Amino acid sequence: MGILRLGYAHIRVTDLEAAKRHYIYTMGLRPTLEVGNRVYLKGWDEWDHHSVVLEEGGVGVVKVGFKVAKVEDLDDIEAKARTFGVTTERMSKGDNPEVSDGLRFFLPSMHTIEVYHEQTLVGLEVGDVNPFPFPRDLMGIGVPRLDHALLGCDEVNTSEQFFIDVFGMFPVERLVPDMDHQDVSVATWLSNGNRTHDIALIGGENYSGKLHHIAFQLEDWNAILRAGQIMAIDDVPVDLGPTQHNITRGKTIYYFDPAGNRNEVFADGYVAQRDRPCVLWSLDLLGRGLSTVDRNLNETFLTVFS
Amino acid sequence: MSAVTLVGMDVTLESREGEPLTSTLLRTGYMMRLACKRGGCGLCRVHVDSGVTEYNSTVAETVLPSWEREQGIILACRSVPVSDVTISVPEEGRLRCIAPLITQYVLREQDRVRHRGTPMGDTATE
Repeated sequence: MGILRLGYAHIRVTDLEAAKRHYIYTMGLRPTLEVGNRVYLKGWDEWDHHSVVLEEGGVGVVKVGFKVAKVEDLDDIEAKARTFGVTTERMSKGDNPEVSDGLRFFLPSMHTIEVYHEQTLVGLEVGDVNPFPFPRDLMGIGVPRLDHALLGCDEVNTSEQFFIDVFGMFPVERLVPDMDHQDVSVATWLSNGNRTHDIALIGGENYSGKLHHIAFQLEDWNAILRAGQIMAIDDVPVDLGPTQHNITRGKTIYYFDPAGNRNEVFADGYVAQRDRPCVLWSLDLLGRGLSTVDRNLNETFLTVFS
Repeated sequence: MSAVTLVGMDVTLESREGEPLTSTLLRTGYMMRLACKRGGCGLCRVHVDSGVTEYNSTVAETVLPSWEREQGIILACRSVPVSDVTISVPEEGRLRCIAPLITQYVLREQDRVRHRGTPMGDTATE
């Protein structure tokens, strides 16, 4: 079965208490563990121990973790990574609290990636026997789960190919310079199931190792608007939205955490499948790609990374 | 309360207690290049020509390295004046007035307080 999903995003924050207020009080994640300068959090509709790790000191992304279905998948990914030319190391159970043994390596884009087969099962907050649709006492926006991350790369094609060859993902949409240069990926949205993206990559000078955003899933457009209203109440700086992208057709707001890491709330566009034709976007109509209605580029969205 | 003088704008704005520089600008009808407003992106770099500011939250070394700090560069979004200050916004920061009606009101009001010593009655302060 291979890769199941983006399991966790581990990010740096300048002030842990301020970050906790944002991710717990405003976003509605639940803390499951606090150790030293780190806090581990999960969404109410996630069953594993954590999907977000906050570490005090700096800004940006420390690493992201992908969960595989079976322990044997690690051997398969290790072999495919070696063939691809990426050296992996084995990580031990306990390197990350409540996370199994697994693999660790640098993506060509210099991001640290971990792959693991098990996390301590905490369970759905609504339970899994005769559940109600959501927990009664959600905080703030009450995001159910981590959805995806967008990572920066100096050069997208190599890392994109890695996710295709080694993780078995497929590109759902790609941004290319123009239709005469369709082989060059300026950005790519990669899926391993039927979501429009589980991981996305965007290219530009000195983008390698950087984080564009981590995204949380919401149900629909109404939930996106309500999230925006809560952001206003809590004085969260907003970068873009509420709007709908034509790229992935996701409904969205982008905003910043108290350290300046960009977050997104995202409500799905369509069902992606492996045999669905990959949608292409050209740079000249990127404004249309980012916004269904106003179609203008925002000066910070494509330049600000952490 | 500190006086914030903007080089090139020929204007001095009065900041409120604990107010970061970017909040003073936005409140008074000005705009500059901004993104996260939380000290993480580094877009709001400005130069302190004179005076002293302090940060209201940690600014990471990766965002604003020491060598820039030593040259008087600060991030405006996290900087609160602790004295009267004179600030230069670099050209790429694109400081401009986007709401002259607000700016004119603020400046008139500052002037009135300065000369009469009392505010103009029951006026909005937001």
